[in-house]
Amino acid sequence: MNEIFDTHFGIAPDRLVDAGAETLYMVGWALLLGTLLAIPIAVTLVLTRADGILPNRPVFAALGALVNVVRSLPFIILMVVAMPLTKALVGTRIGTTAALVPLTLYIGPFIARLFEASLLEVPRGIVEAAQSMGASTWQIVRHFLLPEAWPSIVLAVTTGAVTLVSATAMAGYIGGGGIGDIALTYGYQAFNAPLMALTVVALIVLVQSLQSLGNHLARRARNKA
Amino acid sequence: MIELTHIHKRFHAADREVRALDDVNLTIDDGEIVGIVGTSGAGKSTLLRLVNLLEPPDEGEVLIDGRGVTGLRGKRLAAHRRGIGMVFQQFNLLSSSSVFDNVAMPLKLAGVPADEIRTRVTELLGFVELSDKANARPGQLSGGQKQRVGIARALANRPGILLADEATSALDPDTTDSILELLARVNRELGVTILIVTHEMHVIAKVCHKVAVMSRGRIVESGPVLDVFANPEQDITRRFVRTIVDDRVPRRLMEQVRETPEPYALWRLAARGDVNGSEALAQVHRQFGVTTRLLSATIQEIGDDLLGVLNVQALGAALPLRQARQHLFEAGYDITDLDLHTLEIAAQEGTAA
Repeated sequence: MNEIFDTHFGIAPDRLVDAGAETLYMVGWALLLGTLLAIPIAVTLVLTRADGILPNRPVFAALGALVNVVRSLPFIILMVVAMPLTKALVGTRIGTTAALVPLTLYIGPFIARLFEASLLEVPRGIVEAAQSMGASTWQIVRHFLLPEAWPSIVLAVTTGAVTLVSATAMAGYIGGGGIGDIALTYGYQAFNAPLMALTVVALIVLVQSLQSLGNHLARRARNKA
Repeated sequence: MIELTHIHKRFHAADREVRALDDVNLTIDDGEIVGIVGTSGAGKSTLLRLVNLLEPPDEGEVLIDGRGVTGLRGKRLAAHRRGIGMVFQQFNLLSSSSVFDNVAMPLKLAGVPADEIRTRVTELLGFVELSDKANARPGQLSGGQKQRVGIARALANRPGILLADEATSALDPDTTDSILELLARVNRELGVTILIVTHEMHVIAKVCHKVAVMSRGRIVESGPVLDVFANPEQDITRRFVRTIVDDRVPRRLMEQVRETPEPYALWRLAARGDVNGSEALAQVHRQFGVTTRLLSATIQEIGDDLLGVLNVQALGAALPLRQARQHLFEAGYDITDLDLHTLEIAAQEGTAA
């Protein structure tokens, strides 16, 4: 079985399974860390904007600019720029875990902008109702803004996950591995068309599954009683 | 008691300053239902939001039971707001929470224990007749049901004051009436002081005890509802009153009035409660020989009272007219002298809505 696979696709199936695991590892952790980074950024942006409940022009402008600067960098550049930070945090510049640092930096501000849009969709009247009940700023965020934006936030995380899958393809550059790396190194560069096709199918299945899962969770969030 | 004294509030639009409130003074006694009516942009919603300081004033003072509240911050501001319920035109319910959780929210924010919340919410849902909808989500409810949830939520912390911002403006006429009846019950049974902002005179006529009319950031007229309906003094008030008590004279009758030779008088007669209108007019004819020609007549329910408004053309010489006027006044009519010009303008300008 393994040999048949090997003759058709030029690598051992274990290699592909490992790559799949690396992709999931990178996407999963970067998504989690990126989301944890994105929530405070998005909440701060929404609260401090001019018509927010804690208007603060300097904070809003500085944080917005920072997000824009990081988002301006293509991922391949961000990986290089982030190397000193990666070294400091992980102890090495290369490898799957090392790739988490630029991946998180890449996806955090991206998801933050999506979250910001989700939070801004919550009608102003909801915030006004919260204030009329004597809710504190933290209570408004915790009990009104986040729950009301939740279905939209779930979809934003899904978009983030899909974006991460494509970013991980470049993580091979710093030894991150993953399915994208297999496609480039063993498929494209080795002129191995069948392997190329197989990895593309694997990526399509992964993205479709993530999107379906996200849609399902968002629907459940919307319909929960 | 709620007292607003010399309130000023300005908003800064792109290139100009808007005076939302311009030296507003208003006193509301405990247990009253007070309506604030005005066209859109008159400043009535801003005025309402002064009371719970969603809009702090630029100048002036808001006093609740004699205590100034405009300087409150943090926990004391939160405590102040918990003593005031608010309902909204768009309901502003949490779409992701059940009816139960929506009503429970103010209690949860105030740190009330879960078992007490359960008891209180069950009681509130009973009061607004939605006990069977506790587990429904707002999206599954009709507009009227949503507003009942909004009212239950506003009452959760047993407030002494309820603010209603166009609470019935998104509802159809039947639902509007059922919500107004609920508000009247909140006032009657729970003794809650209610401040209602509306652009519909119907709301004022149906439940309010007092009314304040706003125009361009000022209160231009105020008083007991029946008084204002009987004797509206400002043009804007007349336009609003006319949406309920339409005393406009039909065009064809206006022509007759114009062609009538002097001497004659034009009167607006307003009768409250059980004033026997037609009897008084008959007496005037018998005693003073003054014939009255009816130009318009309408009788409306205002709260628990009746208000009849007649526009008449009284034909006779100066002395009998004076005597007739005195007689009608003694019979209980509020009399306003009209002239042709006023009647013509009234016919042209129509009603405010």
